[in-house]
Amino acid sequence: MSNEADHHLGFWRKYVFSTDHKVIGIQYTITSLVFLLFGFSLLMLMRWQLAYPGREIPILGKFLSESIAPGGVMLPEFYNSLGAMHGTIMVFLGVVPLGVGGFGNYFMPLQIGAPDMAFPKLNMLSYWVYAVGGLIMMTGFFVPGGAANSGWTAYPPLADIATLGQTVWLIGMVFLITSSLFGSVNFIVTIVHLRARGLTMFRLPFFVWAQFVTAFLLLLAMPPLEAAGILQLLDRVAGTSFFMPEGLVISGVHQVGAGGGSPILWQHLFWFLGHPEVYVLLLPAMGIVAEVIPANTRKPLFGYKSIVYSVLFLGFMSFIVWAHHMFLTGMGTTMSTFFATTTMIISLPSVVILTALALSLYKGAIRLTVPMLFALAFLPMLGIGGLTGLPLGLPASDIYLHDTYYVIGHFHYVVAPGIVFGLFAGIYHWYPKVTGRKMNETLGRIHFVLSFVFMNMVFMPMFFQGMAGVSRRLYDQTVYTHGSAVQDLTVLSSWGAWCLGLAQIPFILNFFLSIWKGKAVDANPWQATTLEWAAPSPPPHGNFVTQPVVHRGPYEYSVPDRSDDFFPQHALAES
Amino acid sequence: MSADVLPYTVKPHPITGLYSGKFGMWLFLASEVMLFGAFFSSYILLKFSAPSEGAAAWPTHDERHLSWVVAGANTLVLIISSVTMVMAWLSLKGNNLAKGRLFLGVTAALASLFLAFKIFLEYIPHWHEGYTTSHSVFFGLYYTMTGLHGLHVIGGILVMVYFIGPGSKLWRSDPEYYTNRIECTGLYWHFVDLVWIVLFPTLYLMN
Amino acid sequence: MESAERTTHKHSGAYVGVFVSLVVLTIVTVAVSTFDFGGSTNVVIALAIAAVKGSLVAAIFMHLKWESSRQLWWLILCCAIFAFTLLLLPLFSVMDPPFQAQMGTWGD
Repeated sequence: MSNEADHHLGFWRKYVFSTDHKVIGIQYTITSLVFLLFGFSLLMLMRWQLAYPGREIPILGKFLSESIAPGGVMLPEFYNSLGAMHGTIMVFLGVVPLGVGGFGNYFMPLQIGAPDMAFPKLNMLSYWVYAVGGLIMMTGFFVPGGAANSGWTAYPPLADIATLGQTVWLIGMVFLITSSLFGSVNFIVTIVHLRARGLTMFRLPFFVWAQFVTAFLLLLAMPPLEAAGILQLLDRVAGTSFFMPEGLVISGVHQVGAGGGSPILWQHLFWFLGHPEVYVLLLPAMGIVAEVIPANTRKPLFGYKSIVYSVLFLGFMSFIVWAHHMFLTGMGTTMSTFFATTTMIISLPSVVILTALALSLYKGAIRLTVPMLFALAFLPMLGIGGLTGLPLGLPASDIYLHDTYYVIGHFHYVVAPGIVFGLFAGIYHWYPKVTGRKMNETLGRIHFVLSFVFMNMVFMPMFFQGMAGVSRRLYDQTVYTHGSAVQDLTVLSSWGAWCLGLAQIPFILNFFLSIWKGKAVDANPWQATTLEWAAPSPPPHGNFVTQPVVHRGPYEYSVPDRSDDFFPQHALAES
Repeated sequence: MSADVLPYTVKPHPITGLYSGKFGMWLFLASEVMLFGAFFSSYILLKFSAPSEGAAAWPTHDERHLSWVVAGANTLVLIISSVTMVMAWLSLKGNNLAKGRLFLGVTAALASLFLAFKIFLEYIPHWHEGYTTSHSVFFGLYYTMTGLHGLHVIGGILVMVYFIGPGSKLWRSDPEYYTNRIECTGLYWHFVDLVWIVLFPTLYLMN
Repeated sequence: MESAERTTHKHSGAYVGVFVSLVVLTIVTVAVSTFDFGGSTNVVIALAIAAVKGSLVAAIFMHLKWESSRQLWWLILCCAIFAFTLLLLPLFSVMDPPFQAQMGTWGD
């Protein structure tokens, strides 16, 4: 394992078409962060229309073309595109590639003491397929009729008859799905085959377990969406009618075509992926938090084995809950009872994991570093997100709340202050490993406090709007009496979103400036125990100077009778 | 490069008993099961929720005009190709590259024959008789499912041609590695055969 | 470890057997489909034959018979459960009575 091979590679092979998992991890991270910022910008535009319907968009309005925003006021069609693309970009191009592609690729092999992923070339391919898929998605904005505008769930029959952007969206999705398929095969083989000597499955850091389950979910849940995507693509381009019911009339026009299809089929196939996808988003962030908390409380993770079994059970159950997204499709009481029951069951392992993470704080010597702040905020935010989900899992209350802002509030509490905070924690925690320098503490704290305040300002009002009955799809809610009654909340939420955008400036500055100006640190700045800290920072090609051998579990902090308060997995016992 | 750095690319892992490539191939096949499973699920759901009469009703067996003769012949072609595929692997196991490449070639030829039958004796005549993708949901699914299967056949042919041609250089440096790759190709190919075994009665025989 | 030669010999016999069975079963499945057993018996028979053929391919050609990897069997089990879920649950939820009642009114 030498650096020799590395030295012979030219610039392109070393930094662009690299097969090194670390370079690929960085590529994924940068690309997905750009997409996250872009997806968030789309949202900030939408919030203007929601807060001040029919008013000219300040500054940006002048630059938007007349076909989408005449006089600077966005058209409903453009608003719909923004909504659909915001969802798609955040989920498929932002959070998943960051949590799995970025963090998973970079740190999973390091944490298991592997020199690289099991299939390095496949790894490169999966990044490039993702990048091409992302580019295809973006071209949607430039085709006639604009980008996909049928929501990120692309429900037919609307999506079947939507403008050309929907076709582009479907092609992009096929690429993204293929990419995650390659990635998941690679992850599973790597975790099972390439662990360092002595690293048994129950000595794996929880982050690796989370990636393992995530990879299984991607592997087995993504193909049905690929099938659904192909079927919808054929509906649009080959004249089939898989999702078009017979005798469909839209705006007074009888739709030609054979008919005989079922729009419900799409929903089944979509949510068969859609629900495991929630855990694909969540688990990497949970894994990161489970790494950050022990390192900053200086005590072992509470209930390691129970959270591992919980995450396995969670992964398994996530395949049989999907129809709780579909209680309003006219499903009978037998099936809705079944899915409501499985939904209640799946909340148990999530609660076990969250409780174990919270209990890990008890009697710890807590260091309030920036990653720890984000990890601490993750717990209550995910708690709010999870608990507000329970009424949506029960048909009786879901029928009232379905498709209102309550739903938006619920899943954004899971994804935005929850998962995104977990990912931020990961960035601050592992930045020293990737660059050899720490990010600035002061800027980090400013970023945390502002993000925390404004995240809640954006999403908390949505629960009240939703309970007032405002639909999530409205372009202008003030046209309804019940909508204008809660318009003040919308304005509050919008200002929260714009301030949240500003609050990311310290982060962006910090991220780039710390590459050169950050405080230089040694290989293990947090005095953590897992294997990635045994490698130099940044790790060379092949990762480890000497191949580590593992002697103990992942979270051996404050072991009695030791001079240090941490006992790395690879360290030999003191004689 | 990766071959000499990463363990278990050739030798089986002591715990799983599989080398990485074979494990990866099985994982890939598991996802393929879910992919084709989704299409079969769509088929079942659409069939059962179709109206019982009218233009959108599910065509009966006689209304489909799908003859089992060509499809049955194609089934035999695929079964024979599966046998030649395992023979290719066995020849390589017996250290005979020439014979292995010959059997691979035969497999690829049979796969091409399958596609030729499919396209010239089924797709083109059906399309001209008006059984297009927009004829009915059944024909839409027929073209989608057999088409996706056909794409898998094309993928298999490309891989086999690669291993007969440039890919076979690997034999000189590492015969065991090459044999393993052919075994993985074989796993994929038998899976393609297996999918057809289920597609054949579903589309051609059942009422 | 067994020698390559022994593996070769043991396998070749099985391959020929499977080949013959597959051909015979293909003929049987076509022959059976020409009779009408009434109800859904035909579907059940066709699927049963397909299942037997598929199992033969998986067991012999794909070497599952000789595969002792516990991890592989876990994978196959999980995949089978999820595929089964995917095949049946959508159907159940569509066939649930209230849906059918609505289907009736939509047709009018």
